Amino acid sequence: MSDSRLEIIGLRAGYGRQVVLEDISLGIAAGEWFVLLGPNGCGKSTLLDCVVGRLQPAGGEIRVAGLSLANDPLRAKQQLGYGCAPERLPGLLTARQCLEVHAGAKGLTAVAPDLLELAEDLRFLPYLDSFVDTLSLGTRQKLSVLLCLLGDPQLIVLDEAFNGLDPGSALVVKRHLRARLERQGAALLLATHALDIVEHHADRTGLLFDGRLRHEWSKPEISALRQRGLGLDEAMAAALAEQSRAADGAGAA
Amino acid sequence: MLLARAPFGSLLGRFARHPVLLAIVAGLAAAALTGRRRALIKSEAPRSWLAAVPVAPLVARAEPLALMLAPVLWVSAAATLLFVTAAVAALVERMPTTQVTAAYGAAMAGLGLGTLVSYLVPSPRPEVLPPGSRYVPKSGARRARPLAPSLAPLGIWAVRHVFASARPEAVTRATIPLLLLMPLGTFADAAMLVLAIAAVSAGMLMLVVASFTVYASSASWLRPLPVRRAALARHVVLRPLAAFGIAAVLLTWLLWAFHTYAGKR
Repeated sequence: MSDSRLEIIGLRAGYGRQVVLEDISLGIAAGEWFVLLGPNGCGKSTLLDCVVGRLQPAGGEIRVAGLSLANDPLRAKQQLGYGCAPERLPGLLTARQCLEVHAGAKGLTAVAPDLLELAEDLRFLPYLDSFVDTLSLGTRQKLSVLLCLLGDPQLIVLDEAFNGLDPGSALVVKRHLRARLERQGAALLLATHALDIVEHHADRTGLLFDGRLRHEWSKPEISALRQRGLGLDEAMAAALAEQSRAADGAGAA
Repeated sequence: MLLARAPFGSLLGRFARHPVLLAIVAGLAAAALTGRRRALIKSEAPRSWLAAVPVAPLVARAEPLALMLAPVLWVSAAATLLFVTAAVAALVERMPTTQVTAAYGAAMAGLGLGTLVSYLVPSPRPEVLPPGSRYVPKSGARRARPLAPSLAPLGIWAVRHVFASARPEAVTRATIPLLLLMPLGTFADAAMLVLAIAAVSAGMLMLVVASFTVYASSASWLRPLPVRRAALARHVVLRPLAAFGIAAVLLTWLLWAFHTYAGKR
């Protein structure tokens, strides 16, 4: 198995004639926490949909833990954990049934004790026999995270996973994810707008804008920004303004 | 007798001749009214709004009690008004008021006893459901059981989809045209058979539609997982197929019953 948990090479994707992602190349190594930032509608969720196999890319290649998603989808998906948006969870199933279906689909014979411990830490166990429709946003978000972590995936993909979570539960999830990355060598791809996660937890951050990965910051770069008294939001705004100027210049030429 | 001449008076007269029955009816009504009101106040306003107002604690404690007793007090007031009217009418007609007084006494006794009984019976513990929940809570404590990985719950999803679609308003909208289509003079048993056949047929149709809907939804939900479409389809269809079989047997029996009924007529 290669050290890289996710390799995206020249990815191009969209809906019909509308191109949303253009020439995306990205690699995430084992143990790395990668955060995907970008304004609304820039293509973050589309990129995640391509990575987890929900959307067929128009071009390029995606490899999960060294396995091609296009040529060997079942084995590649075995290495993948995806926390879907809470509104996509089936409302007429109970939380227990969702976990059982996910575990069954991954071919597991039992649910790992560390996941049940996480469920207990998140105070999720009392809701196990409740219908998803009756759960609050935060509780559904917890269920989504638990579903994602079933079967010890090598690549964890989360879309806005901390939305609606109370600060205590969010901290429990962040610590658990960090421990998982260090202990199991998994990698995490997280799309979010929460800049505190970038500043305190991310190893690398990418800025997606107009369907392209425009800028990347490493952990030392983010630390340097903080030392200079610059927030990441200002750095993001500066990067976006620079891109706009470059685009205007190219258009005028 | 004036009381017996009026249309309402004849009913009252009949009640007056059966004071025990009147007491039982009054008792049941009082128990139901007070019990419902008590449960409502307990769930929605367990503390009196007067608790935050500078009034004597006794007044604050008496206010919820008065609210709980309000329906019975209204009924008592109406019964008293009726009794006074009936007694005056009897006196004008120079008739004895014994029967009316006995009936009034029985009604008041029934109301008092019913209210008392509703207080003696403990009200059930309220279930806390999230706002907008449409699920009926299950009674009894559930034993914690371990998670058993399986795709089988996907089959339950389709069956639940059918029951979730069959909401009271939808059932009403479907039933009314059927009832209107029935010719005048249709016997109740024939109408019930037709309604049962329509309900089972609609259920079967909904089950087929639900199976397709659930297959599409589950395929979308589970797309990031390593599961084959054939396995998914098998698990989604298995339980609905069993439910469809049971419904088909029931429909056959209903059709046979209808055929036999039509043959006899």
